[in-house]
Amino acid sequence: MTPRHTLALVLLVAGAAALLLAALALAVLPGPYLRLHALSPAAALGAPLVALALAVDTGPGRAAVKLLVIGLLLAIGGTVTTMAVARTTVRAERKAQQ
Amino acid sequence: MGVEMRTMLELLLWWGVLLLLNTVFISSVSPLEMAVGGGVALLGALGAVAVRRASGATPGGPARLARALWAFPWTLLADTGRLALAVASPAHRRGGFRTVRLAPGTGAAWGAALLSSTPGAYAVESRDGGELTVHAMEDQLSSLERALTGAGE
Amino acid sequence: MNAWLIAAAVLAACGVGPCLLLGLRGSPEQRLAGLNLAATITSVVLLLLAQGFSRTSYTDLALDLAVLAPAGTLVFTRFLAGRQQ
Repeated sequence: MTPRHTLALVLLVAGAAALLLAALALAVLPGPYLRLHALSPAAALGAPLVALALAVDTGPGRAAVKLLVIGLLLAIGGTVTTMAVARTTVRAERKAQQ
Repeated sequence: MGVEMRTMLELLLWWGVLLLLNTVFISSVSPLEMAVGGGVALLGALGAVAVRRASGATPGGPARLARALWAFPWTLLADTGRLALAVASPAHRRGGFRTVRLAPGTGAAWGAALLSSTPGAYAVESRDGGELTVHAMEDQLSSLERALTGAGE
Repeated sequence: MNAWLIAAAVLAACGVGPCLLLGLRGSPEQRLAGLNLAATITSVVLLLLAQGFSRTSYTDLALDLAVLAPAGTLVFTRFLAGRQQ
């Protein structure tokens, strides 16, 4: 296997591990606030790593740039929605306590 | 710079970004594609400028951007480790809200976004004066937080 | 059967599965968190499937989901904020 394919596989395993950790954390962590910490590593670490793995495997060219941009979009979208969901949860909890 | 000049510049910036995105995503680059892309990007840029001005959103100041970007990858990895630890053992699960006071000149928008993309914290509210309400997994400040607030320097 | 397809299968089963299960119970905000994570992981699964089947046009699906899923989540957020008043 060429070094490029090895690097792509390593990145893929790392990204997939981050995503699986995020899913596990979402299922396992208790409490409404602690659970939301699981949303960030999927968007900011897992998705870009997988996109990077795919881009490395594709080789230089426009297709690789497209994959990297999709990874970046996932990161930004995931971060923004994490904040939005967190705000909604805080509001709901505050209302439930009243 | 007058307001019109700034609006023109912002329109041009949006147009450029949208056209660039379009060029990256299409399969074959031909003059027809570029023309269509340019036209649609112009419509999109007009809409983007209108929405941004209506929402009153600003990127904020660039103070401490370099330090925050340098601290970001390490904090990301360290916080993912902390999350794994919290998942593995119930004894390590804590967490609470705290107020993060950003250093003056730091944009609240990108500061809160950077902070929220690390698993260790997410921003919930943002008030005037660069104050963020943040829910964090640990009591001690992460290095990104230290970089953004200027604490410990 | 290559590494991309295996990764896509594992992520679809063990990644999206728990998120959908979380989406079935709890308060609306909790379900929204599950939906959000499910959308992110599904987008990644689509990217992996595109690479696994060697069809570059499938990445457009992942792109669409990456753009539309946050918009959907924000719509739900707005809806829930309206309900809370």
